[in-house]
Amino acid sequence: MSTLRDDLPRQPLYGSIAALFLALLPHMTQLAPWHALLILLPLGWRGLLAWQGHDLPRRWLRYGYSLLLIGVVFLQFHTLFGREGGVALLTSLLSMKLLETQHRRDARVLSLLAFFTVGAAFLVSQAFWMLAYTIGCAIAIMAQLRAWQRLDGKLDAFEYKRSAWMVLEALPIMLLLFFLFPRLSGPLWQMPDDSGSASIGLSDDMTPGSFTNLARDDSVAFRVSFNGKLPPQRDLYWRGPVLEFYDGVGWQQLGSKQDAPGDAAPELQPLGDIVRYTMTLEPHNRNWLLALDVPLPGTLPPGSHLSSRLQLLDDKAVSSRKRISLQSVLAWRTSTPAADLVNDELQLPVGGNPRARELAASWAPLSPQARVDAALAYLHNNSFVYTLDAPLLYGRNTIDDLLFSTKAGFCEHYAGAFVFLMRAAGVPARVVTGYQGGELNQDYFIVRQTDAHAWAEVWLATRGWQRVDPTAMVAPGRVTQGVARSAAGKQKLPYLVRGDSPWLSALRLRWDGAVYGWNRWVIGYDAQRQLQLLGSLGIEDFGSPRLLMWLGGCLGLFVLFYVVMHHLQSRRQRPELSQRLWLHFVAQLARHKLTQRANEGPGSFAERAARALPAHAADIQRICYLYLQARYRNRSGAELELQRRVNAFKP
Amino acid sequence: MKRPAWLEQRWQRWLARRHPPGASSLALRHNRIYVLPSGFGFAFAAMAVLVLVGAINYQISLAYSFAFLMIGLGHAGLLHGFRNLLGLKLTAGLAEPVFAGESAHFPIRLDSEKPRQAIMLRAGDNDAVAVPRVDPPGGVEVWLPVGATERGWLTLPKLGLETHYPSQLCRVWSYANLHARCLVYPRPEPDAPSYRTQGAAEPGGEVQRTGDDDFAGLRRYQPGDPIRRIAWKQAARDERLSVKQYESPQSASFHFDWHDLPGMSDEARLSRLTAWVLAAENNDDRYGLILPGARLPLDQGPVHCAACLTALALYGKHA
Repeated sequence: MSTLRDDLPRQPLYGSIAALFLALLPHMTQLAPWHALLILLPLGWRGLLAWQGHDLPRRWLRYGYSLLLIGVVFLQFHTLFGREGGVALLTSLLSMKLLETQHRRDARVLSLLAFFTVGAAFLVSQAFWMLAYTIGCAIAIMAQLRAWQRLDGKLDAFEYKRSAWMVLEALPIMLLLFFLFPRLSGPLWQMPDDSGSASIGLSDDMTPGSFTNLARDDSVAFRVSFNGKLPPQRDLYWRGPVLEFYDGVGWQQLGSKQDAPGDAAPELQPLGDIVRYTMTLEPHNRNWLLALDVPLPGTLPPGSHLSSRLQLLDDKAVSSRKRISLQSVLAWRTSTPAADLVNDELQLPVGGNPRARELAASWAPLSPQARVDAALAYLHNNSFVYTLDAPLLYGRNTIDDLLFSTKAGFCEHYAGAFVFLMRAAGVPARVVTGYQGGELNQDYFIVRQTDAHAWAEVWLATRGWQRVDPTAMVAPGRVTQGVARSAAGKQKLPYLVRGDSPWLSALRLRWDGAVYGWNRWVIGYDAQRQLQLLGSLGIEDFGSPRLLMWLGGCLGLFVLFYVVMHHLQSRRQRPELSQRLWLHFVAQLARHKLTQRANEGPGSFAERAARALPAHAADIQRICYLYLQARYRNRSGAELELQRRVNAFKP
Repeated sequence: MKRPAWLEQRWQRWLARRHPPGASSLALRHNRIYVLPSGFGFAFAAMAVLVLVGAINYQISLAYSFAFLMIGLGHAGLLHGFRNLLGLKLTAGLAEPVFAGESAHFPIRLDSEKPRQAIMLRAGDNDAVAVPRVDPPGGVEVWLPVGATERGWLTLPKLGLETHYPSQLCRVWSYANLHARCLVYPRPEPDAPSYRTQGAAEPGGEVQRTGDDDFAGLRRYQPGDPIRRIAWKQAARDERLSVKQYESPQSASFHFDWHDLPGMSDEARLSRLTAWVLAAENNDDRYGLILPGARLPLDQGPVHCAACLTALALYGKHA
């Protein structure tokens, strides 16, 4: 049979198409617009066929379109599996299945696929609104599924209402399982193309202007909660990639050496207090973890290591939000590095920037520490400007231009120039990128891309690698108050970061607090957090009697809830209150040999009773009136008065 | 899926104990409703597990929650299916007598205090009847077919109710043993010889019948009235059926006697007599019936016809 008859009732079919559209929508935002349209087309097609009462498309057309969709997915993603390709394939199949949906059975299969597609929508986003959206989708899918079971081929508001009820009833079970179902850490298998997405935030090189661009991005890089005392803001240096190679224009990481096996951190001697904190990183698709200064080697999170450049690296790229707990020291001493490392840190391109080299050479007689101080003093005393509006510099002598003519730059200019001067003066030095500072919100810091920063490290024989921030010499406010209060040209900053509108900023912080709580408790709810929660309930591990007690208790509560609901419902099935009151009233009158005859309505009975008992005539008439009002007009006020009157009625 | 005989027997005994034959009306109670996941329900559960596996693999906390929401929805679907039958009130009414070999149709009234949907109802092994909706307050009445193979009293078999509404995730079913019975007349012998030549004509009864077309009025339809006499035009205007009555003052009279049919089996005799009673009633003849132990005097009309057929149906049976 090459054509399929369309035997499905219209209303549920339209409901299905709407539900499928909702289920597909989040995934469509991830595709090119023409690809999304290609996938959504069969929805409209099927709806049109149903509207016009036509047969379904012929087999070759259906199969041809399916092949086209699959081919497009393969061309776009070069695979049919993995995260992106797999989801695109799933959505294509879902949409194609609709074109051959001819029986209720097909419609049910479609509902199952739609549920799966909605579940996959969290690959797109895990924001709060996405949960709300998927719940809406679940209601829509459930409503059309309910309609398919109906025999009258209708889909009305009733089904949506009942579906919403079903979701409400499902919520307690969802919450219980969400918190108590054992969480496994680590993926079951690795998908092939899961780490190809573009990175966000810092990169592994630095050119003039790159940090100025980052400063315009006020998206959150990570959030940090400290356990115990908060360190002062000027000490918050979140270390990212270390850049060592200078090509005359920009600075780059010596990636190959850091990735080499046996790349071990230098011996570290912590000085000062240990700072304990937990950070929640937004996905940036790189493997660096941006620890505060230097994390203690013995306390690193599983799956991460400290590189020879003291950078904390994860084994995998951070492609989803990640929570790590860390311990760092803000002051330290490192052992002597290998000779080739020091040579790397003295590398300079041949030629260029003669005046800077001359300046550095003039410090040659000084001790290394004194050379560092001299360079900082030079930056401090020669009226350099810290600005987002730095003039663009071209050519081979950009550092000369900055130091001697324009004298205006952002952190990457000063960090680069400083490291150049140090190397020219024979002090091993390197550029460190990362973030500096952060915004305190209630009990945690928000660190944004705006806070991205570049500073320098110099190697001193006695203390090893030590941090030096040349930008702090130019604009001391940068490290104490943040970029918005210290940099010139801040109209280039995002409006909310500038701090011109305090109430708006406060609102934004309040909102960020809610988002952070959501990330901490819902999205970041993992094996570790689960154990923490269970521990606070007195449960050590799964299979402990305590857990069974909790589970049993919760289930018992459910059962109790249902029993109570059932009782309330069956109570409602008893004769209505007004009717019971009326029967009581009739029983009272029976003592005076007055009984309501089978063919006698309440009105005529009351009239007869009033004539027989003239002393109570007014009462009887009133009760009859109230009864009729309560019973047939549904007046609850009448019912209350009826109750009072009947109880007081003593003929 | 066929259950082995011994299991089937035990199963039926257990069901009979749980659903004892009772009054002609009952409301389904919670401990008489059974729920099991359907094939689709299992597929749904598998889909929830698939979402869960994805959630574990990609460490997506909210996908966990969605998998659990699906499980919760499955549970809610089960409860809603259960509630679709819970409290449903069934009342069996009087079934019109039928002839053996036909189907008796038992009227079953479904009452409910809330709307219900898509319930399948069947009596014993007979065809199921779909009830799209039961709406308060009127409820709905359905006619359940039951094959009548044997003359006598046909009792309403155990009713099976089943629903997949609302979610198709589970099959919810129950049984109701309502007390109701239907009289099954013997099967009229096809092509029976004419009673005019065989039956014993009353002396003086053989008078030329006239006035077969003299319309005399309408009266209410009674079981056994010939269908061709039903006043359909009237029925379209009225709620009830009426039959046209004709003046036939002078009609023939016959006695149909069991003993006049020697050499036939009991059932064959009953069949023949049934055919004659129907034919005589149809021809507006007066007729009487003589059975061993029973004698119905000469008369005519639907009531007499029904009395004769009842006597034939119950011949040799306990009333």
